[in-house]
Amino acid sequence: MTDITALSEEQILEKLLGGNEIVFEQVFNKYHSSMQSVAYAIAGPIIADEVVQEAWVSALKALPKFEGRSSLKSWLIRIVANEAKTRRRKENRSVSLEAIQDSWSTDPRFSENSQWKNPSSQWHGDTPEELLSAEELKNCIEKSMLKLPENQLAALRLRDSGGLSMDELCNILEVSSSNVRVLLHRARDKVLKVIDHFQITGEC
Amino acid sequence: MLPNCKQMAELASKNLDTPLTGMAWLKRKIHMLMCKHCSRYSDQIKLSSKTVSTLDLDLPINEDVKKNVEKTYQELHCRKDVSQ
Repeated sequence: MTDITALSEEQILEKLLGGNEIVFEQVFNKYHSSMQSVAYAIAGPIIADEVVQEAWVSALKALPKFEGRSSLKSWLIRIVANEAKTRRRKENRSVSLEAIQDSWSTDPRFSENSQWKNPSSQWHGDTPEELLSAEELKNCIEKSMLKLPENQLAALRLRDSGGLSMDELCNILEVSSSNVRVLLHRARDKVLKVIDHFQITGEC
Repeated sequence: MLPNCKQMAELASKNLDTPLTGMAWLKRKIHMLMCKHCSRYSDQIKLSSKTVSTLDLDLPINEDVKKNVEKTYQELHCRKDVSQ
């Protein structure tokens, strides 16, 4: 049986265009979750499934035109993000920036003069693979990501998972570049805190 | 003036997306040479970002969506050439 992990993107594309259903199912299973989380974060949980389905249909129609200028994953994320943005507008749902005004200004890790008071610990592992060898940590991070404010989750998924450019993030989320930077920092910092806590305590 | 540690934390993330240049780069570099906490935080925010990129959220797959998408794939890309 064909295993897409052993294929290049070019080979995967060739098989997809050739009507290989086994390869398509693997591609679906591999990328659907990432697409779903982008739709979930941008358009909201109620219409997320609908948005992802529409995005898949658009992607399948456009597949013969895919030129491989970005990765297949980035391409799919871009399609679902734009679909989600369109739907969000139709539903009159805007990306809230309220959550930017979070506890950063009173973060207890810093002293009053903004120096480190409680810096992060030394971690056991320098790569994602080393960190995630603890299955529990993987679950902790996933849970913490689902608790992020929607706008932070969207920024994190689009940028760190989808590899979209900062300009694309501004366009999709309809916020300024400085706000995108704040969203990304707050989201990454929360993930960092989860990892740090796990490194110290061995618990979520 | 050099950035303080809190500003350095924000710069660590900013630098991942838009690498700092010129004086901003130099000031950050000098601060990191003097402050092991900021140097560590910078490495860790980069590692956190990389780790996130490898993770998929465990959202349940809607089986109806999967079926509909598979059907669309079959219709668009698996049609048999009836002329043969």
